[in-house]
Amino acid sequence: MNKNRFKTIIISNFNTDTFVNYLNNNKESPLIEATAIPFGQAIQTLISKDLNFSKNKYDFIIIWTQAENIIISFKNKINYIQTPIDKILYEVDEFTKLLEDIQKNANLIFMPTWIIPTYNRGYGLLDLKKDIGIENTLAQMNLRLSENLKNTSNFFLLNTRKWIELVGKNAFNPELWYTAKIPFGNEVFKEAARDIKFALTGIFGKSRKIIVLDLDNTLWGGIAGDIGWENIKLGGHDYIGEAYSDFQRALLALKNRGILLSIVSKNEEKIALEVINKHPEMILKQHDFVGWKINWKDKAQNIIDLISELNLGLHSVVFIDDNPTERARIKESLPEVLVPDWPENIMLYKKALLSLGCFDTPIISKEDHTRTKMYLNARKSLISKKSFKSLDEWLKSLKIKIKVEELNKANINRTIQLLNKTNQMNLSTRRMTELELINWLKPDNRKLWTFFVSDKFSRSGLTGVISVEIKNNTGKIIDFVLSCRVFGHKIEEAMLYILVKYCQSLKIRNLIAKYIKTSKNKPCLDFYQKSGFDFNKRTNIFSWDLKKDYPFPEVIQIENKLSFL
Amino acid sequence: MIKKDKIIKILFEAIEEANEIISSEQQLEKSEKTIIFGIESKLDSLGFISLIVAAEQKIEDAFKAEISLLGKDTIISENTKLLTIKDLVDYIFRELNEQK
Repeated sequence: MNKNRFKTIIISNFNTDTFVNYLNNNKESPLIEATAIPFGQAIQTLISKDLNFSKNKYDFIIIWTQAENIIISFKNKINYIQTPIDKILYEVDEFTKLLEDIQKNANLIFMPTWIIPTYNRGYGLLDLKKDIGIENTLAQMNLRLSENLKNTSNFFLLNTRKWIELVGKNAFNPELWYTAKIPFGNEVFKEAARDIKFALTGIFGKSRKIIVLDLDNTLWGGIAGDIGWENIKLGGHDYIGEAYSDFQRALLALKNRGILLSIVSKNEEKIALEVINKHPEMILKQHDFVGWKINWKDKAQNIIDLISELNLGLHSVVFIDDNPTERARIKESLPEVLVPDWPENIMLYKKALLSLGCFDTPIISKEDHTRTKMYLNARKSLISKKSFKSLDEWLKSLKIKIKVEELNKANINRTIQLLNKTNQMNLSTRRMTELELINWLKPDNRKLWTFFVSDKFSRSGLTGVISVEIKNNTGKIIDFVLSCRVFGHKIEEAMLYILVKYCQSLKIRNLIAKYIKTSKNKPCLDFYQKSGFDFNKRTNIFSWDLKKDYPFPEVIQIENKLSFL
Repeated sequence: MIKKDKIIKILFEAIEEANEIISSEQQLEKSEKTIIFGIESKLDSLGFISLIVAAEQKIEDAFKAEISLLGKDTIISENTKLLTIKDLVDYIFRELNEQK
């Protein structure tokens, strides 16, 4: 799936018409086209096997129910009838089985967690007491659902409580309930829609990867060039200084999660780096930033240069600057960059940062935690490049190794992440859920390999994916995906070499690759045009005659043995 | 002192909010003449309720006064044939003044 408009159906046991209308009316990207089953039909719909929730019909399904109408024992619990927790959890398990049936045939499912109205005090003082409290029971039910569905890759529980807390006193409206069977205030549906849009953005590979930060009055208070690094406001026994430190801590936490940090600032580089390296209260250190442009040039040009050096796209950037003029300049000149409105009050910086939904991803992989290090190593190797006369000489010095594996349990998460996040070196930009990929690979005529890349500076990890479908004596490359961290290192050529060898072992005649153009994958076209494959411009198909070997890039070493090599 | 202009402004905000959650065919114009109830109204019952609930919440926030348009003293009676935004403004104005 790769689109900006998604079709959904809502299965609910309350009236979701206003939610449906809100989703349909809201023009923020991605657009959603929503319908709902008649309310009160949730269980019947989930039980009924003949209802068509097929993947072609809906991109995702929302299952939003009230626990007391689904889990009958819980209804007793709410009415203070003694009910053993085991009985309630047994019913949750039974409900999960219905969800699993739907989940197997759906692309994607979102289910808001169960909640009871906040005005219901339950057992009050005892409401969180184990085996007694209603809230305690509800928490266990939601955790049980989460536990039961932990191995599914296309089912996501959404946190209803967060929406309720954000909306406050108008979250539950008895008038809407009695007149229209709508349990929540309208604002709750808006928060739900916002979260679902963030989720779709993340799942379909459009989450942001890098924050570009200003320095003066953004990372610290004051103009370092005017007052000197010793006099900036940062940390110490001062509430403003503390707020700046806290904002830096929040940025560091995002870095730990895999978001890259960088700097674009109008400043003297020497002075700015002096603050970063010398100020004792600086939380962020120089090595926390993957790159910086600190000079007096136009910030838009600096962002373009920095992002291009990092082999990223502007669509992956979030720009944070306290200066509204600079923000307006970037918004206008680089529309792909996300420029959040930024509060004037430093004490609201951390809140503004943590509220951003643009970093949501469906999977957290090992690579996410070490991403900054990998980019820094790439930067080191780029610096070393300057001392070599030829590209091959430099690549050889890197001692690049690749390990080739078929899809397995250990690499599937990262493979899905790579397929869904990579935009530039991507032949077909095919976005898939884990289940879709597993199903796609079931026929014997389809193969997929993953590529782990390392060099003397770093282990880039699983950064390449290639897949092929064999039909009528021809192999067709379906996915050709390489992370921007490693492209240009001849991994691309090694991937084609391996695929050609595999196809030759099957004694087929041709290997083809159809380039599917997007606004971002020109680097892939550029590579194929130089790859030696014949190109039919009319059909956008590249082809290789398998009578010929594909040249192996000597700068690469394949670590593991493959049966067909 | 309660001013009708302020109530009108609040009701226009309520229309904006309701327009987000009612279907495209029912979208309301921000005008005192807009018919919100009766045979000539674009709103169905859910659209009407959505508007009234939005209006109640906004009036409560602005005047710190609880006003019930759907409760016991509803603005709709058996004899109500038609209701415009202006009628709603007048009703709320009266109710708020009575509460003072």
